[in-house]
Amino acid sequence: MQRLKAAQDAYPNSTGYENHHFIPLYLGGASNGQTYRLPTAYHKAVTQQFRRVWPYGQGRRPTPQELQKLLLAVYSEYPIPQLIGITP
Amino acid sequence: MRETIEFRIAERDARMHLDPGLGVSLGGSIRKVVLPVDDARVGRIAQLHRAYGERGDAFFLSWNLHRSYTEKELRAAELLNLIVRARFEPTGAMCGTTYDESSTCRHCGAGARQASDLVLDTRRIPKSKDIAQTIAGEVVVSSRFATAFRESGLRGAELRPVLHQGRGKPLSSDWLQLIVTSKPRSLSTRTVAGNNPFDLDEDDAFRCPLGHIAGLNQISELYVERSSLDDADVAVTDKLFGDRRGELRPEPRLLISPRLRDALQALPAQGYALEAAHFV
Ligand SMILES: [Zn+2]
Repeated sequence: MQRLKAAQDAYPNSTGYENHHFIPLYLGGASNGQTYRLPTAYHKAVTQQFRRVWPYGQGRRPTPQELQKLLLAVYSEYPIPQLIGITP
Repeated sequence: MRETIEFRIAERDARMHLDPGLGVSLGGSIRKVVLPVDDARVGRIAQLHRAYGERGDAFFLSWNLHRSYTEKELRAAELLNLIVRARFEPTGAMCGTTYDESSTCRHCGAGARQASDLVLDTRRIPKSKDIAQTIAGEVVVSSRFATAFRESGLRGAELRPVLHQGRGKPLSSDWLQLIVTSKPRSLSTRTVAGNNPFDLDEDDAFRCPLGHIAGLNQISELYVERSSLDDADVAVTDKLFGDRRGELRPEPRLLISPRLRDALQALPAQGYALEAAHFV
């Protein structure tokens, strides 16, 4: 909840919802893979955290094991609300 | 050439093992550390990564190698690796580009053949760039790049239309797809590839048994066989890097001649970097 609120403060002009790929496409997620509907501001915050952990567009790929660590690192700090019983 | 390695490490782990003054914090929870590759601390980080790995964990979350060159070094190179920096999505396949998968390798997923003009959401191509690439490896160039390529009489690629997928039927766009038509250059085994600089994939988990893939990631500069030299100004490597996963595809590397380097620098083109590549 705190994270959702902080994201809204960080991106005050973001309204509405966006679909978030649980595994971002640039990290090898499938376009028809699992998505969650997130408030746009929170989606931006999660996306930014992914890019801090594994920068976009550097032409390198994690192994599937490395990818699991990345997902854990991002989602332990920015959980998917639906997965922890919160309706965003 | 100056080579540095960049790590992204969870702040919690960095605090436990690294000098607090080393690197910069990104948003409080991630530390970015950049070191010359021969710095003793790189060895220390590799050692920590191995130790973390033994308990199924990872010390660094990502890594990247940066190679920077002097003007003189780039001018002296007889072959260059053109690295497309600007990347974007959605991919061609997601926008309606069709691919013929009939000759795709069942081991590594290489070899899908593009069977239509490239269709993209061209609004997603980074503005002000002259060369950009989707995350699936489709390379597009600006009309000013195309003009320079044609006017300089450069060889080795065709420039084909890119269509924009709007709401209705695909529309024409100002972008062109760079399709390399020259003979692929043979990648030498001197080229180092692997999972990361400390794990060269000794088990060949990411190397296709049919030899299509050099490795998951390029680690060293590129080395190609001298015998594969022809007069093309742009060519691809015969072996690919990466894997097929979701929208990602195995990708070749782009090799260019000094003439194309000069044309890019004269524009000056935006969205790329150059590394020296070597004939062996
Ligand atoms: Zn293969």
